[in-house]
Amino acid sequence: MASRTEKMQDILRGLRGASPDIIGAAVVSIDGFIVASVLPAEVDEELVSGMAAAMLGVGERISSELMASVMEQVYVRSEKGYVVLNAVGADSVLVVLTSKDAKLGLVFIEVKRRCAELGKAIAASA
Amino acid sequence: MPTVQIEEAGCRDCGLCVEICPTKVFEETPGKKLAKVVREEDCIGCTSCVYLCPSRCLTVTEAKLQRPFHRMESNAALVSRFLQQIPATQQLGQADYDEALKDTHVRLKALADALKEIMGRGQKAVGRSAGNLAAAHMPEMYETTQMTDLMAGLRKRFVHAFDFDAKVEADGTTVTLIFPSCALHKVVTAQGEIVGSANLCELFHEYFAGLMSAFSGKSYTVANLATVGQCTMKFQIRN
Repeated sequence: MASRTEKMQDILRGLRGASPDIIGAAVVSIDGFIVASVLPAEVDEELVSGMAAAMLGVGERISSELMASVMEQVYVRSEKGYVVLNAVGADSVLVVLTSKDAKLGLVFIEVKRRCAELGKAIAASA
Repeated sequence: MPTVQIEEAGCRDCGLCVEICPTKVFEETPGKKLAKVVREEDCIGCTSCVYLCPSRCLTVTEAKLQRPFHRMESNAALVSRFLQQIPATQQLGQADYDEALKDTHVRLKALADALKEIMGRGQKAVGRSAGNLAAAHMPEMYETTQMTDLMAGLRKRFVHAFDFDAKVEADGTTVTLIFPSCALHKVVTAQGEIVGSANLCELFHEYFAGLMSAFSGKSYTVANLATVGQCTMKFQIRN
């Protein structure tokens, strides 16, 4: 039987395979650990996990302070593409890297679907 | 040899040139409100007088350092005065240290509170990253992979700030630390916060987990914390 990490890794591979514009993805815990990852080799996973967890924290704070609601997603646009962060369950975040040509609407649908699957995988192992 | 000239009309007899000149080239003229050049041959061309003169009525030409300035007794005394050979810290008393410590407490708490306010739960990742970064400054800790030796090394390294007893389980997956003393206890209680649950404590716990992870190459996380009497923390390898 596949372990939780293997299941999550499979889900991330599925996400990356869903569109050629999705460059990589990772699930990061709120305390800054990489739980599963299909990030490009040149990416420093430790650094990304720390930054993603910090960004999730900032996203939650800004969402509750300015909108008085729960944060769902943070996305960053750069010249080369997008970074999308989506909360998964209570204590994790999905990080998705895309190219600049990505159709964000499609990426968001895919992210939403995979987040539900990841949430189930986390809940099943808890 | 430098030539030193004072434009008498401009001199206000402030006496700054007389005071600053390391070789006593100037003197005040009795009965007149101006300084005069009395030992031009002693001028070493430092041009301190030119820079200091508020009336800009001094000129030094042909200025070159022509003498072994540092060998002249009066100048050596002057240099020694400027260099303040008595370290500033020796002039401080216990009260000054206490006051400085209090300032540090306030700064630490403000920093931790700002991180928490802005980053919320993300503060943990910052603490952990700080531990990872700090690890690079303690290369000697990378020399062992045994958790028992590693914890002994860390205890020795941090004994001035806090002390702890470490219990490492045989397989190394769980490490329990008991802190009889910790510098942060004082900081936290002085600010009216509860030891263990204060932001600063949380940051430090993650920092320590980051250090342990960096040195051991395994992902340790804070699993449990008890603060009755003294802090007891359990770190576990993350699954």
